Amino acid sequence: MIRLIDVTKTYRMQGGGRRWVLNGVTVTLPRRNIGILGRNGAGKSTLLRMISGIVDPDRGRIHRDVRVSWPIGFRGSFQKQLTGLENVRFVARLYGMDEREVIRKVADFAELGPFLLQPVRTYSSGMNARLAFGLSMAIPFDTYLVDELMSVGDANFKQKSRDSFEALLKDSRIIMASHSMGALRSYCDSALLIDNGRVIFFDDLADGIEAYFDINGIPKDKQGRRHRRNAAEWSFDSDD
Amino acid sequence: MTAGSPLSSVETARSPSFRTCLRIQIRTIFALILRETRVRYGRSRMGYAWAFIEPILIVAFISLAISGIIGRRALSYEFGIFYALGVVNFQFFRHACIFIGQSIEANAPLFNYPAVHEVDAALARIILEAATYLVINLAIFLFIVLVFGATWPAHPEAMIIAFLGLAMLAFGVGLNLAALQRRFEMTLQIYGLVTAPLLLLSAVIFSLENVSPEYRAILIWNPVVHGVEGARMGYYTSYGETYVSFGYLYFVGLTAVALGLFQVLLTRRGMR
Repeated sequence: MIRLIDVTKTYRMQGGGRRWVLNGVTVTLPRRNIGILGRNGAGKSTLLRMISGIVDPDRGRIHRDVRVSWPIGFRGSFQKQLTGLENVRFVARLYGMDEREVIRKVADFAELGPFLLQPVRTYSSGMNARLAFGLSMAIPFDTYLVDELMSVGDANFKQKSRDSFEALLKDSRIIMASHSMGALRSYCDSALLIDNGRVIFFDDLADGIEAYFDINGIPKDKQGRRHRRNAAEWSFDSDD
Repeated sequence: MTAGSPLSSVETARSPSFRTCLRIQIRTIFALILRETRVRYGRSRMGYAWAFIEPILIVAFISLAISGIIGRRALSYEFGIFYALGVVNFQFFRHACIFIGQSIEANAPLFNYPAVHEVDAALARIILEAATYLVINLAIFLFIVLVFGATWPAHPEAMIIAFLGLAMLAFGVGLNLAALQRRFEMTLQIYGLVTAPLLLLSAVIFSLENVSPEYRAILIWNPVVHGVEGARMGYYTSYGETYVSFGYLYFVGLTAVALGLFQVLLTRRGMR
């Protein structure tokens, strides 16, 4: 179970001023697949970073009694001068895993071939994502934190990620921040909406998505459904 | 992995048990040390050798130059020992401060893993740097003793106390630099500039024994002096007892570490 107790988080803006991410939030995240919704800059990534423990809140406590992954995303968690293999080895050591086993799994998944022995700085963003994702799949967690990863990679990689995720979801669960409603619908059944320093938990993902469209001001049509094309545009949310 | 459920045998990100935490931290620091050796020395085979060659060359150069200045007196290993004691320990302090000062910036991508704390990255670097310089110290003394037949240190334990004091001071200064570097990009450049005269203020190429009391009273405020002269106090049978204070060195070192830890924790709350 993951519990946020009276958590406040702001961050400094360049040139002064502070931006609120969470303002005295207390919430319990049940053991379910949760989609995190919020506009750009609302603090989805920061929330994931706090849940994983790599960023401390300004005030309040975060309690977790499950093994939580690092936020898995396409943003680099790799040392650029080191090869992919050396990075994988480092993380395997960090988590006390059998190095050879992890390397074998990652090599299988990422299909980087000879690039595994090249410095990560030579990788394309797609290769980076494949390595990052393969690595996180090779280490068992109770809860995988995913930051917008599904929207990268070619069709083949997406299919592969989907398959391996579905296999994982038998024992583990995910908390996923994404602007892609499609990705959220395929993996999540509940939602956490962040807006203006507050969070709301929705038992049903569909209710969360409705509320998310409401705060984005996407109108309903006569049948009470969101305009499909419009919603798709908004779901990529490039307004700020 | 051990037998049993795969998920119960591995720890949570923040485990409640102190021993588990300690085990994770030791594992993390070990992984970081291995990583550091790959990045720092892995580029070329010469890289790591250079860490040893550089101080030895400096010691040789200074002894040659000074014995040339002082006169035709035969180049004796006595000079070599005196400067080795100063230069190696001073270089260690200087390198370690900057190496640790860069630890947070250089390891930035790794703080994406919850197990890797900023302090672990700094600890990994001070352990690696101290181990390297311990080997350098040992190699130089073995060489001088075996080849020139110099005497073995009179109080080796005092040399170790001096070295560890410098290590703690460097760790503290480095932590502060690393935290400041997160806020101000110029930190390390400014530090390099401000501390440029440190070599001359740290009794590296002269002895405080030969400094007049009024200047000595000023120089002993510099904690590095107590590490450098402390190492000499450990080597010679009777040297520096009147002014070297390990208590002062450790007091300043501990203060710097406490302040540094506080600063690093503060920067952790802001998103850099």
